[in-house]
Amino acid sequence: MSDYVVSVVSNMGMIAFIALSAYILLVIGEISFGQQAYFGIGAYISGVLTAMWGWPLWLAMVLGCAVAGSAALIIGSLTLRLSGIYFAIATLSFAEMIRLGLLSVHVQVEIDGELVGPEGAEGFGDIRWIFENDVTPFEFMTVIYVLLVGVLTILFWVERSRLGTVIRMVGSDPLLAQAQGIDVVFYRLLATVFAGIIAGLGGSLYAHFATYIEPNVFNVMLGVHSLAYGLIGGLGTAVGPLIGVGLDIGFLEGVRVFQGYRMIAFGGLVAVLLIFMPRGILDEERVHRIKRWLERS
Amino acid sequence: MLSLEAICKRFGDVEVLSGISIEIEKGDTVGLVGPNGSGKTALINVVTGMHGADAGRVVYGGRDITGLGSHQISRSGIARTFQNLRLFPRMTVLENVDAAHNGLPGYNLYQLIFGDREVDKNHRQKSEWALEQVGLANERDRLAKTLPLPQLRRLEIARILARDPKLVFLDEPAGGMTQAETEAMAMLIADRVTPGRTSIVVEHKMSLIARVCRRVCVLNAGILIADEKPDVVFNLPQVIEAYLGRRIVNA
Repeated sequence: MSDYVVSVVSNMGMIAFIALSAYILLVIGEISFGQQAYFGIGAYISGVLTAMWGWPLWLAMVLGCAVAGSAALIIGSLTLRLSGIYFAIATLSFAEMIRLGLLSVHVQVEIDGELVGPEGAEGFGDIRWIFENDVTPFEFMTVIYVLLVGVLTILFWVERSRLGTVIRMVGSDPLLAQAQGIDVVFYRLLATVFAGIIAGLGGSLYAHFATYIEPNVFNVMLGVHSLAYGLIGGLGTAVGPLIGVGLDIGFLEGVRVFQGYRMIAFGGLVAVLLIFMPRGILDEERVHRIKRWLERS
Repeated sequence: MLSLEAICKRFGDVEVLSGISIEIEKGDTVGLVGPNGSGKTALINVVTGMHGADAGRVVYGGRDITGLGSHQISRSGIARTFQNLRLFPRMTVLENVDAAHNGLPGYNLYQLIFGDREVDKNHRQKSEWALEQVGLANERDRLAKTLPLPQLRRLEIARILARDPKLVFLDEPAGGMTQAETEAMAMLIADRVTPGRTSIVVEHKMSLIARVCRRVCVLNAGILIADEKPDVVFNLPQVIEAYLGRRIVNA
């Protein structure tokens, strides 16, 4: 597998985490433009822990996810009474606060004669875990996909469980869910925190694969894209956002057919799909038909 | 069973409920009627916790439930339908009914994630039984949004039956139905919903109220103007003037 292919496939895997994160929020009935903040928090926290403090990667990733989840809990609690466009704007504002905050973080230590650590807009280089441990990009890509399969397994499990039905009840009609004894606030928070953790995991992987991160990587366009992946691929199953990622990064960027015009093609695709398939390619109705077809055969 | 004590509710400058007091005995079936905007749905919303009361108390089974969240009130054994149909349109008919169990006190987060084979099986059987009761067993795998209105209303009833609540509020269960469909709905309510539980039925179709209810409360502009048996209430002058006037004149 060429380096280019490994790079594109790895990117797809890492972006799939934030796409799944935005998808969870969409299923719970909210549009978040701020999942990139949790992705960034995961990246910075885990990057600091491995590059500056020499922590093992798995532990750094666990803490990166924990901090991202905690941030999601705080933001989720503050935005509980918001919905629709107000929730979307609140999440966007929070994400921009994090990004602008990271621009002013200058914490560097000297390691082997070199300054290592976040340096504001200059970024955070020397996240050298992958080199120090002789891990090849292909091996790291394998780690990405093993974790992605793990997250997907959890999501599929939840989707098939009563919890999955509860989440869809809350997303479909919170008032009705509440009238049926569902504590909507609790389940919204639960989904928000889980979404934050998944985005944090993706960010942790991204920092160690890219070895260099800067605040502007986690800008609003990353959030918009992650949201669009779910809307393209469909909200009927967790496979949906993966289709969105595959179409954008795998096809439009990876194949280079639309080189230079990728964003025009991507924007057009989103617009067309929102008109003709407002809940994406694999929406609930198509997933229902596929399930029935599988049951019959 | 249910005691409403001087319930008041305002929306801005408009007082939609002005000191409503009603006592409902266990097993009773009470009709709640009145012109549009008289406060019927507002009263249901207050009792079921969707709106907070500005004054007054709601006592259910000897417990003050005023100010509780609607999910807590639902968990105490109170269920409702909605004037404007509320269903989960992208779920199947069976899923809609089965979902009604998820908010019951028997389910904690662990059980919701990992399931409880016995409880799940019991609830699934209850859901299928409820669909049979309302005549929707053959539609169980259809998406709810593909059903016509009368069947959607029946689906709401199936949801109630599956949950088996002690107290039920039916908010215009025959809304938008033809005369024949209304009669079928009245029969369904009388045969399947009201026996063994306390019910409050909001409806504009007096044939349904007369068929189902033993007692009728009449609201007008947020005030309780009558609380009598059906044959009495429909002949009270204040009710005729406020609500039934045109019908009597035409007759």
